[in-house]
Amino acid sequence: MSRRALALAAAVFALAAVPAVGRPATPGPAPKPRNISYYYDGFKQTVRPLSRAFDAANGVRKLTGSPREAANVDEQDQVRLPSTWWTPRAGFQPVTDRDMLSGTGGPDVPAPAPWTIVRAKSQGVSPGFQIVDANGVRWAIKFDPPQHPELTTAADVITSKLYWAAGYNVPHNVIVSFRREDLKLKEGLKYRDPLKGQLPITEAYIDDLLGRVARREDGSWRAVASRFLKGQPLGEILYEGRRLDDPEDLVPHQLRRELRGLWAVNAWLHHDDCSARNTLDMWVTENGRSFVRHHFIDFSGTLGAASVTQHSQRSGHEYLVDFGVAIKNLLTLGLIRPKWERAVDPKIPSAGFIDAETFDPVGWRPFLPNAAFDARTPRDIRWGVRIVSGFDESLIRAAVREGRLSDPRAEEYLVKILLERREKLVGAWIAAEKQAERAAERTDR
Amino acid sequence: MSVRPLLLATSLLLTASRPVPAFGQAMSDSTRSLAATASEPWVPSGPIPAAQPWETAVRLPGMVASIPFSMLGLAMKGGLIFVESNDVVPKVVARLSVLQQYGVLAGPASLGDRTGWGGLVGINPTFLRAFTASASGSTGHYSRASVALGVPGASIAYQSDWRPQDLFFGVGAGSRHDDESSYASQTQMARVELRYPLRHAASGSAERLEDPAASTETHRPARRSIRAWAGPRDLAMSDGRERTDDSKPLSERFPALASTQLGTRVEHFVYGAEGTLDYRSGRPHWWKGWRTTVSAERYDAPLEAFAFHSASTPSVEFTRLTYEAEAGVSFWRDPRTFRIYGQVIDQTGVGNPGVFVLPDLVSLGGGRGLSGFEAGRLQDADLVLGRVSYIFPLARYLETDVHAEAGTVVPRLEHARLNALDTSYGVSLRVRSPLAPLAAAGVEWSRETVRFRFAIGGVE
Repeated sequence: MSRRALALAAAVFALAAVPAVGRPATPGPAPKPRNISYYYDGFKQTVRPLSRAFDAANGVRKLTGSPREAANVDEQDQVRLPSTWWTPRAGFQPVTDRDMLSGTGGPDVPAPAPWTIVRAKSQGVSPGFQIVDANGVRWAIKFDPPQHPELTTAADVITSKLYWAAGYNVPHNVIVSFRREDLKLKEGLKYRDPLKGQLPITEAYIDDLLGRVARREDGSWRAVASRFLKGQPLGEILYEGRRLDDPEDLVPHQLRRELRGLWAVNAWLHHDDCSARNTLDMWVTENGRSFVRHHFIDFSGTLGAASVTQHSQRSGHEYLVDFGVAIKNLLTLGLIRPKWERAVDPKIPSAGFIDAETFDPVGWRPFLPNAAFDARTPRDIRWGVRIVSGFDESLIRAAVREGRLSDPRAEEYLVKILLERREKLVGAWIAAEKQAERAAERTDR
Repeated sequence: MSVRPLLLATSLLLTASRPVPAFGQAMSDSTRSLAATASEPWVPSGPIPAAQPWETAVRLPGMVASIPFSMLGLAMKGGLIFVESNDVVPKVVARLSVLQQYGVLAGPASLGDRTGWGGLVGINPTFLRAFTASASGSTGHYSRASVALGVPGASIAYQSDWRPQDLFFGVGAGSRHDDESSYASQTQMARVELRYPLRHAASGSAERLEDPAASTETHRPARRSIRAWAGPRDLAMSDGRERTDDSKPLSERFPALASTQLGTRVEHFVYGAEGTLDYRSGRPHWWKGWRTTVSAERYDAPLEAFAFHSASTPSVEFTRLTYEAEAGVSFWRDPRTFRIYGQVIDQTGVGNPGVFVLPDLVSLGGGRGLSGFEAGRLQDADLVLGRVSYIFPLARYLETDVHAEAGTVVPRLEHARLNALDTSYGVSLRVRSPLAPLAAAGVEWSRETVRFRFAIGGVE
């Protein structure tokens, strides 16, 4: 297809994507895009438990049993709506399998070949590229590590569906399959070599990239295609503070119920890589209004997957550098055996490692400390667990099926574990309330 | 309680309680109400402060006290942003790999205790991979140069060492710490070595791991090796360069000894053999199995044909026998490992006529054992050393090694007595990757002193 046709198709698609009613007015000034240092963010989050430990105000709140509650909740302790962060779905209103699957984009997949590669990254731990399909839609294509076929791509898709159903904004992720001849290179593409600067991306470069990732026996590649979000990217969400140039961002993020309560959803889905780098604010214009919509992206570190390998049994139990655990181990000479050391790996490569037996529904921890999660109170958690409780087996199974796992054991295992983890969360946080509600209903009748 | 009954009960509960129109509004079009909103969101009347006034007041003293840390944090932020935005890490990695590609070697030096910060540079040319040449130097002015030509199973090498201020406290376990002195030594040696097996088996893993405790290696095949070597060695001593109130040159502290040692050139023709059985395995540190090494090395009269300077030097001909053994056991998934190590060195012929130079004495202290003592604190003809260690995990990439050592130096092994052993204790923090320990830093203490130690690489 010629570039002119491609441009035309893209323009048609762009126009079609705009609702017929409420054609956008002139957008207001967009907030300045944010570009954070992942190194610094990692360092800051790692040492934050230390600064919290020496925070006098935090100590006073702990001693007096008066934690600071979320600042954006109403009298019923619910998130004040509307919200550009979260939409009430599972746990708050009925969500069907169909709702969930169509919510992020339905059966939409990249149009058939050819796919034009418009950007590529061969180096690093997770090679991938961006394509524009025949309809002019841009997608990010990501792969599985060679040792774990289907693991991270399935996790990326499954969790994106469940995250949407939980009420959060996510990209449309879908499993795709392609052959080498389906790809073509946009002319003049370049990549940045650390030593030589800008170099042309060649067919050999793409061959090298594809040689580093998992490939199917029939010679095709399986990947996750993540459709580009609408709007203008503004950079990451920080779990602490505000975006000062966004007039709608007036609540410090660590005081937002949607972020504090997200802990429960992440604990359930074992989304331990939930740092700022896996978030994205977009400046969107819809119904004549321009605003920041807050998204969560990249779920390749969820369920049993840890982006480039499978989760270790330790994940979810300790931070990367967990000062509390280290001090405890030092004082006890490591003689108190942590629960995770008893975990049993199911040895299903495409499911990776996630379990329910050692899952701690009260103390689950992400890879790095998270400011909003650290500020969570039981009320925030119960709010999040209410979302988790809204997922029934049908909804979970529908999401897991979207992972297109070829090993039926993997699908069954993930469904079973997600149900069991859900029960542990519900049992720990809201089972009593649920029972009380039921009793009240019976009395009313 | 099993999860299954809980699962059933809660499923029933949840099924009964759904759907939950929590907000009470009519939802005629489910899909529409489920879509992300484009409406103006709820916002408070003004920005909500992150901290309440009393919190700010309570934090104030801490904020003032932590200004230096805040400044450090700001500097680190700037530095890390610079590193990240300028691709410093990929550039350094790429440059290092290019250097390796072109046969340039670079890394930390291994010159021993009390040598200061050191580095190594060298070449291993692409057109002659069998050849290696390197030079090491340190801030303590220690240096080493070496060239080697190696093929599988054999090598020929030359090495020259300059050590300006090694410590000497006197001979025997009864030597006094107050008698600290230093001497300098210049050593050169050439060596032909044969070994079997011809190559070491690779122990790397292609597996990408997130956690040291996830390592799957529980067994490595036994490594049995033998090697034999021969070649001349030349050693000359001079006065130590270190001059402080506590540490004096050898000639001032031990004038009688210095008169025979300093300025005297001693040559030997050295040959020996060593056999090792190594059944150790495990990651990130070795946590099970055992190893034993026996070696015999003869320091014979120099051969005219191979002497560096002269075959007629006042050398003492002697034999050094070294016995080493260690074993380890562990428990639980992230291994807690007990290790025991023993070493005996027995030198015969030390009393033969001639000059037995101080560097040929065996020593304890520093990295050679009894780490809580100064390097070279105890020196004599023979030694006995034992160590027990307990290594346990602290966090994902951190572990701790707690250890105790007992040992002594004696003129003859039969003089060694259990009740005369010196002891040393230590704790070190070890940084580990999923595959191996990378570095260690710790504190060692003995009846005489407390020492800080660190090592980058070479940690077992």
